[in-house]
Amino acid sequence: MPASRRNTIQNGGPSVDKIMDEKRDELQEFQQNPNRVLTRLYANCRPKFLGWAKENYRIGAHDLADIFQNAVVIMMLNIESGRLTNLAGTLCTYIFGIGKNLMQAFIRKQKRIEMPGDVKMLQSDEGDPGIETQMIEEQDNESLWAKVDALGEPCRSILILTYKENMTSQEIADVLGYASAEVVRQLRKRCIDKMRKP
Amino acid sequence: MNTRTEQLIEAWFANTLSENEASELRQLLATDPEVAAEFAWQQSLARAVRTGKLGNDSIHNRLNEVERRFRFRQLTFRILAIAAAVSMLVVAIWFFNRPGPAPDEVADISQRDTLETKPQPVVTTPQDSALLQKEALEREKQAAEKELQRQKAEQQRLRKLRDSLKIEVVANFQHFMNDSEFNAAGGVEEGKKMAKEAFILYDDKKYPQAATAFKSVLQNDPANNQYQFFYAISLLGAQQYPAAASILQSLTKQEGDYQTPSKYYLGLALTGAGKYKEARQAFQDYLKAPNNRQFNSLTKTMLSKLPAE
Repeated sequence: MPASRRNTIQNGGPSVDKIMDEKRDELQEFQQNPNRVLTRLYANCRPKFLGWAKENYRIGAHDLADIFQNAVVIMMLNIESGRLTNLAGTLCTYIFGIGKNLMQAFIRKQKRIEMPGDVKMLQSDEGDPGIETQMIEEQDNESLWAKVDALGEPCRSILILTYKENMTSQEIADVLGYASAEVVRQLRKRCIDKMRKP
Repeated sequence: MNTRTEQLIEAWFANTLSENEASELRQLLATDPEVAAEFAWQQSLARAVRTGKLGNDSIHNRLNEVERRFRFRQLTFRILAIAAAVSMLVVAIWFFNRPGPAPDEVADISQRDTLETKPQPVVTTPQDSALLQKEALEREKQAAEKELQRQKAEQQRLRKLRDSLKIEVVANFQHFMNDSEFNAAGGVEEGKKMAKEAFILYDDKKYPQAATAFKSVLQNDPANNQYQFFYAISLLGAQQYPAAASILQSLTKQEGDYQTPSKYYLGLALTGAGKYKEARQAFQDYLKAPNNRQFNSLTKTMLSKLPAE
């Protein structure tokens, strides 16, 4: 048997250094060929994520698929913005971490306490709003959303994670890679203040 | 608007408000017009933002393309798998239904067999020996290739197991609450500034930096169990599993507040380090320990994921 083949059989597998190199390479590979890495994530990481999430969280399959996609989007935003330059684990592990925060926020939605002005309360107090009222509200929402969109990143992500995904400032700091919850609060305040300007 | 009001509004949007805090917020909304106006403004922002999606057009276009290709690939594999299964079925049906030999042929065959099974004298020419040797080498080569394939498959299986268990370790890692005097509410003696800095990094979940800071702190106070515990958790959070396991191993033997939680975290560290048998033992020790409610269900989850003994 040739010597090279003997060595392959006798080795226990790739060395630790090689695994670390693979992790660094994964981020570099994403920079060079994002579609290939994303396809691999969907093929390998997504089934693991959905399986693990189904076992540990009571969330429907459709919502879990959305959560996984959001986690991938956040990962891509973090790479684009330069907030993610070093991976402690693999991209899949990174996505798991983001997904966990998104799922915790999702589950908390069931604990929502009603307050004055909340959509649910308005509809129950006033009956079905007329079509005109609905159209006016939709227009207001669209113009406000256009302002949010125009702010760009990171305001866009911070506001969506705060008001749509209902995450805490600490969770937002964890998924977007900011140093602390306080940093997120300061950024959010600045974004909202920009929106108040005419 | 003061910080407390901002905190209450933030907690409402994050669905972390307690009943008492909810009552406090309702009271403020009813009595303070400035707070009511700010709250209404943020609610209108929330309604507008609900129509939006994370990410930009470029990211969504890329993901749509990836999903499209992924679904196409899945469909192609399914079609090929079905085609392969149908082909095998057709071959199997043909094989078991093919016509057998006629009765006359059977008689001839059995006679022929008798003639042919008579021992024949073995003729070994140099060419025959070479051929036999070549065949033997070929068989040996095939056996070696099969063994190589089997080992590669086993290595791949172990690699997948290791990667999936590392994911489980990250998923089941819980930030242990900082109960030291160095949390946000506590005071600090002058001489313990380094320790306070280490705990601030820990509270911010900057585990690699916290681990480095705790290492320095322990040089001055090596016998301090609390520092050792949070050093070990920081190492675990930074995924330095063997180093974390080594410290947690000794903490599980020392009586005190950290003895029981150390057993759970030791299980995580050993799992991350690939020592599944020892990890199983650590998790089982945790389940037998007193005051083990905190990580009870996480421990059972980890035990179900570890490979069977």
